[in-house]
This record gives sequence, C-alpha cells and structure tokens, in this order.
Amino acid sequence: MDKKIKASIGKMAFSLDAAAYTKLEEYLGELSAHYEGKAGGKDIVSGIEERIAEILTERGFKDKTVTESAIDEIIFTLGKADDIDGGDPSQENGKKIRRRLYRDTGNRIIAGVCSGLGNYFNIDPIIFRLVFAVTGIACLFSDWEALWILLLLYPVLCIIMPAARTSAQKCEMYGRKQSIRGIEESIENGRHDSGRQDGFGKTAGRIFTFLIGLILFCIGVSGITATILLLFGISIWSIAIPAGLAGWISAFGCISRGTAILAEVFLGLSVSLIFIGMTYGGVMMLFGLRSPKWKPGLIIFAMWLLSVIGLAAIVTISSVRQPVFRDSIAVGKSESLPRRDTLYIELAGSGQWKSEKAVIDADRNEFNIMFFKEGKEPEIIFYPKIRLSQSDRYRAATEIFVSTEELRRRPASLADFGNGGNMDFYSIKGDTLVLKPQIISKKKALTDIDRMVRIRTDENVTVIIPEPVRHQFDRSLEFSSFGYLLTDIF
Amino acid sequence: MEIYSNSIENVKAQMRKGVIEYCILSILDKKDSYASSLIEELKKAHMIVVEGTIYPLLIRQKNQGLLSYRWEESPQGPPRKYYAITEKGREALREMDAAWNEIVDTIKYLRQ
Repeated sequence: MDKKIKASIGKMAFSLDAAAYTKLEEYLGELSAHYEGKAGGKDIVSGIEERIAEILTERGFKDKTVTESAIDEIIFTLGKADDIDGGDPSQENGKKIRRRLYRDTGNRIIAGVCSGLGNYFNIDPIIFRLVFAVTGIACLFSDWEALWILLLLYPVLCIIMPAARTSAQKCEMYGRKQSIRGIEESIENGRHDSGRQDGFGKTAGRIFTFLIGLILFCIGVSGITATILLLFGISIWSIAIPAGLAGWISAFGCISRGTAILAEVFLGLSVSLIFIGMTYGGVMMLFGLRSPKWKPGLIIFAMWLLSVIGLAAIVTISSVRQPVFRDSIAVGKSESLPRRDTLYIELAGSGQWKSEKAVIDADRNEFNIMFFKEGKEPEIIFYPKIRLSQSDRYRAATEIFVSTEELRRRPASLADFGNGGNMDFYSIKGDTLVLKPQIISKKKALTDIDRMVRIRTDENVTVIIPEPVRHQFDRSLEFSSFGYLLTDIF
Repeated sequence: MEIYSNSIENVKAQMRKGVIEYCILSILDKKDSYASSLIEELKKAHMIVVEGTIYPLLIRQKNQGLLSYRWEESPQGPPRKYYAITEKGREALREMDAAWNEIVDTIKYLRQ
C-alpha cells in the first residue's frame, strides 16, 4: 500500500506510510493496554510517545515519510512492554490484562457478537452462533416464550457490547499480546464490510442483515406514523379517542391528575420508542452503518427501559389503590310500553354537561354518548347504550329491555342472584323514556359496566333523542357508521 | 531481546534495575533535565538497555514526591517535561547513598 497517513505523535505532525502507521498504532496500543488501570499509566505512554517524536525528528523524519523499518528500530530502542518491566518484582500483574467484552467487528458474520463472546470466554464463536441459530429455528416451531427471550438477547447484546475499534480496545478484547487480525480495517474507516469472514458467511450475513433491516425499518416507520396520527386524534381504526386521556385515566385509576399525565407520557414513550428503535436499527442494518460515537441505539434502549419501568411503577401503585372487583353479575329487566307514534328518550341532566367534551357514536340503530369533564375534579359521564330495533312484530306495544353488569368485590354467591342489580338508571314518564347517567370521578368509583337499553318498537314509530344533540333514529337516515355502509353494499 | 537467556546477564540486569532509580536521582541532583538527557546519560553508563524503562520509574518517583517537573519549550518546539529533584528527593538520595555505601562495604568484606 502506498497510502500516506498524517498523524500527530507527541504533539508533532508526521507523515507515515500505512504499514508504519499500523505498527506504531499497534505498539502504542499494547502499551496502553499494558498500563491500563495503573497509576500514571497515561503519563508513561505519553512520555514514550514524546520520546518517539524526538527520535523521529533527530533521524530527520520531519520532512520524510516514516517507514516501517524506522518504526521497527524505534520499537527496538524503546522496548516493548515486556522489556520495560521485565523482571521487575515491583510491577503488579505485569502479564495479565483484564479481558473485556467487546464486539469483534473484524471477525463478524452479522455484528461480531458471537466472535466477541468467543474471545471473552475463550470458546470458539461457532458455539455461540449455533446456539442463536438453533434458537431462531426452534422459535418458529415451538410455543415456548423462553426461546424468544433468548433470541432477543442478540440485539440487546449488540446494543450493550461496544465494538472494539482502537488497538488498545482490541488488545483488551483478546487479552494481551495476541496478534491483531484485520488491522487494515482500522485504517479504512467506513468500510463496513471489511472483516466479514469470506465465503458463505459473508453472503449469508449480508443478505440476512439486509432482510432483517428492511423488515425492522418498515415496521418501525409504520408504527411511528400510526403513533403520530393517534397523537393528533386522527384514528384510522375507528377508535374513539377521548380528548384528554389523562383526565380519563385519572378518574378511573383513582390517581392524581399529575400522575395520570405521567402515565400517559410513559405509555406514549414505551410504544413510540419501540418503533423509533426499530427504524433506527433497520436503517443501520440496511445500509450497513456503524453506530456514531454517542450511541443512539443505547440511548433509545435506555429511555425505553426507563419508560417501561415508570409505567409499570405507576400501574402497580394505582392498582394497589384501586378497589379490586372479583366478580360481576349481569342482570336484566324488561318492560312494556303502550305503543305511541313517537317515543322520546331523555338523557337526564345532559344540559349541565353540554359544554364539556363529548364523544358521540350514533347511527340509525345505536346511540352512545360520553362526556368528559376536565379540570381539578375530572369526571366521566356515561349514559346507557341505546339500541333500537324496529320491525312489524311490535305493532301492539313497545318493549324495553334494560341490562347491566354489576361489579362485586367478593365473588358472587347464589344469594346475590336474587337481588337485581341497580336498575334505577331508567324510568318512564308518559311517552318519554328517561335515562340517568353514570358518573365516575375520584369520589365515585365504577360500580356498573355495560349498561344498555334495548328498545323494540314497530317500524312506523319515530324515536327521537332531543337533547343535547338532536338525534332521530330513522331508517331513511344517511349512514353514519362505516359498518353500515358495508352491509348495504354487499 | 533475550535478557534472560543467560543467568549471569539476569543477575547483572537485576543489579542495574535496583540502582536505576538511584541513578536518576543522582543525575537530577546535579542539574534539572529533560527525559531525553536522562536517557542519554543512563545509556552511556550502560544502565538501561531499552529507553522505555525510565518512564514508569519517573512516574513512580514523581508520585512519591521525589521529583517534580515543569513544562519547558524543547528545541523541537512543543513543550516537554523538564524534571527536577525535590527536597524530599534529596533526602531520599542521601538515604540511598548510605544504603549504597553499606552494600559496598558488605561486598568488600565478603570478598576479602
């Protein structure tokens, strides 16, 4: 190679040829590794480096390119680590270098995790590769979740284990004084494929990395897009997004509003960080990039871990405070009304919440309304679900069937079945069916779920809900539900 | 560098190793120097084989407070460490002188 490299040795500029640079870097690396952790180690090496600069200057290399043989002479003159300490009983652990776990990017198939593990434990990397490969295949055919966890260990190790880049790190990875393979790689920064073992390993590794990268990238990007849309309240899966999720969580979970906001943040982070991480990993793998110095992968992983822990903490704390419902009893009751031409449904008290945020899900057969009162004492107000079915079978009378599921703290016993649940939420006044809402707040916890009113009337009867938003159940009404559109077309 | 191939060489090396620190302090006692002049003197006296040897010793002695350094502009340009012996170093040197004389007397006595 006739590549010339400019380097600063002992704060002086020199020009070296590639082989000389490699040798010098290796020499200084060995010294650094040897004196690692010893008091003044850095000073010793920098002193030697300065001496090297002096000698090179004396021999006239300020204006000439430093050759490999010049470096050889210098190493001979200054002495290798062994020679410097040789036989000195006052030097503690002269031979041993603490071995460190690094990713061996010079000997990798995918990322050098197995090679690095092999170096640390002094076991052939093929053993680790076999373990991961077998686990991967077994995952596809078995239900055992433990296998997935083992497989997940690979990307986790990939993030946690740094790659051995400098000569000093490589020495630590191998344990002192082993020959450093793939030195060319240290000169050619950015040549991401260097170091891959040849033959099957290289192509298989590249294809595998590319595919996984592509999959991760696609999942990651779609996940992030969906999360952003969700954030702006645009739902693509017809999920009603209650505005102010924090208030909602706060009322249900009997936790303070501040904690609820925190829970919302942790939840958002836990989900979005997974997708962000996938996108980042995907991009890295697709283009074979090396992670930049500040290690975004590690940061993303750490932040995700923290948000999951935070969320788990809040959930645990709030579930401790939450009354635990052990069981529920579903009860129903029916009533008959004489048939009228018009049936009105009054939502009792809805006037007082008219100015609050509401979610209304209404179409020609169903009506659902939920109010969210925000503020210091958040409240959620639900009215029972209203379902209407009209046919000529109900000419004579209108049937009303109410049902609810009541939550119990103790397991329900036979005796409980005799007592109906709380059916007070409805009443009939003339030709109006009056429905009372359920209000959940910090002071008043949930006791019933799934309150529903099923109304069966003749097809010529008009059913109207005048307040807070006028709604008329009408066969001729334009469809407002996506589901209905489908049934009518097909 | 096969210092250990010959056991006599080994013993000589051990002897030298024991006194290099004594030599460093002696040289600095006469005048302050750069690391390079220390190396030159020690090499002339055949006290060191490889130049790297003095660096760990210099650091150790500095940590023990026997010598200090200041930064001085070197002939080549960048500032280099300019070593000097300290008061504590001078005391240590006197003690080493005493120890050395003791050893010399012992050897003289045993060789009679």
